Amino acid sequence: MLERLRLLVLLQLNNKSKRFDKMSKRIYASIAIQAVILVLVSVIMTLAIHIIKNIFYIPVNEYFAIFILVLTQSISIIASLLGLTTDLYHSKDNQILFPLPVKNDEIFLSKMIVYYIYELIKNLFILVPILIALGFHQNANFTYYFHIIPITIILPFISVSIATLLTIPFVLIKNYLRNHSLVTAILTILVFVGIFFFIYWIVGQIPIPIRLVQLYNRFIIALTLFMQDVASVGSIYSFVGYVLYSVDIWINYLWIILIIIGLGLANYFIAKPLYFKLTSSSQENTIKKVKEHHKMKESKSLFLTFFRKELIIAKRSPNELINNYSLLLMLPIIMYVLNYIYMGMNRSSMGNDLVLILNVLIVSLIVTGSNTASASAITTEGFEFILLKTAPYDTSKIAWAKLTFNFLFTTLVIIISFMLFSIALPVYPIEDIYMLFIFIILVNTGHILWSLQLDVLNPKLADYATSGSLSDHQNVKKSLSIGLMISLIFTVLAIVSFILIRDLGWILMISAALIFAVNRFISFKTYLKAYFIDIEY
Amino acid sequence: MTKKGIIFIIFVASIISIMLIAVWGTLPENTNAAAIDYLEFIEYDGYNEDEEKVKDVKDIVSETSPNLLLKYNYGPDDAYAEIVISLTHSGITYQHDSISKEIYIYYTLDAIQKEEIIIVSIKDQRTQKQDMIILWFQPPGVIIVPDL
Repeated sequence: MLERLRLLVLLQLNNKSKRFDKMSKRIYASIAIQAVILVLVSVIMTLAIHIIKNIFYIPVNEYFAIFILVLTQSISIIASLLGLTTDLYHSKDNQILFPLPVKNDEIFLSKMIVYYIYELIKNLFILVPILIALGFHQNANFTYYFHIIPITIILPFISVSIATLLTIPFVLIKNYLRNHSLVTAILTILVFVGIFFFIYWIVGQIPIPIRLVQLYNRFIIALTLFMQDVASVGSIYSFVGYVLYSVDIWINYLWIILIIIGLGLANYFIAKPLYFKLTSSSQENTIKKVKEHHKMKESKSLFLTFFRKELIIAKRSPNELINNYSLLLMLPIIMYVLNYIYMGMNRSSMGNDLVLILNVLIVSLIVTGSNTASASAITTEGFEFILLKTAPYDTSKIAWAKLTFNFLFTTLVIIISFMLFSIALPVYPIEDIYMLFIFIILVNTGHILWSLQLDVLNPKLADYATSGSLSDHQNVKKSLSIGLMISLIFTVLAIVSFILIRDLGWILMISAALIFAVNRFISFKTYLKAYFIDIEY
Repeated sequence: MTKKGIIFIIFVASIISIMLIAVWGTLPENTNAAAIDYLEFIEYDGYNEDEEKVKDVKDIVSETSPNLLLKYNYGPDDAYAEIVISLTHSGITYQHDSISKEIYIYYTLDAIQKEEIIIVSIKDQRTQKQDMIILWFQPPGVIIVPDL
């Protein structure tokens, strides 16, 4: 069994790491480089802790060390959880490993060992330099440095064991959500709402009137207290910390060993037996019987047909929709946080003008940064677009359908954002909220038209059909650049409007946005009529 | 331009916007406030034979709870003070929240195990008014009789 395990581990390690010929000089060069990296990271960490201690005035003591252990190992557990989920249950090498003359248990164990080795290397390059730097700052004695060695070996075992146990519920939930996109979308929205209320609560703790220096002090105190609280309930990592600082060494080592045995037994009796069952049901090509009921509906117009198609796509892949508009979905949170801080300061009349100008800039940046779906609307049709064009109808209506869908969705999000904003921050002048809302709707309309026009003029149908990816899509980049340019131009206009001609400020802003939107509408209509027919694969 | 680039620009613009309003858009602070009349620690157990304020931290500070909160007060409420804090133990650190008039003392594991006694002093630099408190781990059997 041990020999098979060794071979499996070597097989996977060889597959995932650099290989050197035996007796090659490159091995020594690689070791030397890694030693230099270790020293450099230690120096950087020493400087970082010096800054934490002497500039941020955060106490660097034993509890700080325990907090660092909790933090680094939590990150390690999360990283291992994500990596192990893929490696254990979704990895392509499972298809090669399972037909081999080895037991499923041995594959499971070998994957854990491979992950343990990765985590050990990570700890060597991250945790060890941090612990050395901490020891240096605290004038630690020899035993402190000595205990770093067993701790570096023990900690990856704990994080990999915890992560392996957590992969079971994680994979079950992941598999469920993969098959229930609507539940995923609802959960995502709930997470967004949860984040909003959490931030609403956090921001509500800021004392009014806001003074930045005192606010900074409070933030540092809250951060320190949080670190101390985490450290004082650091569970196994408290035992590790106490070992480092030579507090009841043998009792704490005993606790650590007992926990390790507990984790090992839990993995043996829970994770290992479930491994094969979960792996076989988690592959992409797992066969599932699905009952589908299709109802054919006849549409009254071609535009409605295309519009319904957009709705169906959004319904079938809500995650993609949320992903496309994630920045826009953050709009109410960003608006609320920033304006709470602006309103909390004891502003002069100049401050009030600056609030308006900066709102124009930041909200415009967010809105125009969220129209990437419009800039790739035709491209994402891919190969199907050519089939579509062979139909004996005015298929340019697809562009109007996409435009309408994107406009309605973004407008809905903007309306909700402004409603939430006005409810959450009633001290903000309501007339400014209305005016900013009208202005943003007009800018957004103009930018959607411009973005879609870019894709009508230069769609990358063949590229998308081949790769299925929108990364490095030129129209998306152009749309974002244009959005940035528009935001900056309107900000300059806002400076003129709100500082030089304050009484006519919003009239000028909304008029300019209206001219922009109408201009883009005429331009889009003209280009669509002239060039849609020429779009080729 | 990429989406990550736009997010970065929004982040930077947000921070700069707060700084802009803080620097150019706020009214000046009123520095003509009155000087303080008194300055004192408000939570303590009693006085020792030298008439110094003492506080037993044995039930508050432990290995699993290494922080101690000390509250002080000064008056009148709208007075302007420049508070300076000092501790006798160099290893133990503190943080000062001037809004809430609170001092957080962060004990080290070593200081908790050795049950170190520390003296915390507060002083207003404008009026030189000051107060101090002795924090100690009271051994069993020792009783401090409060002044009646």
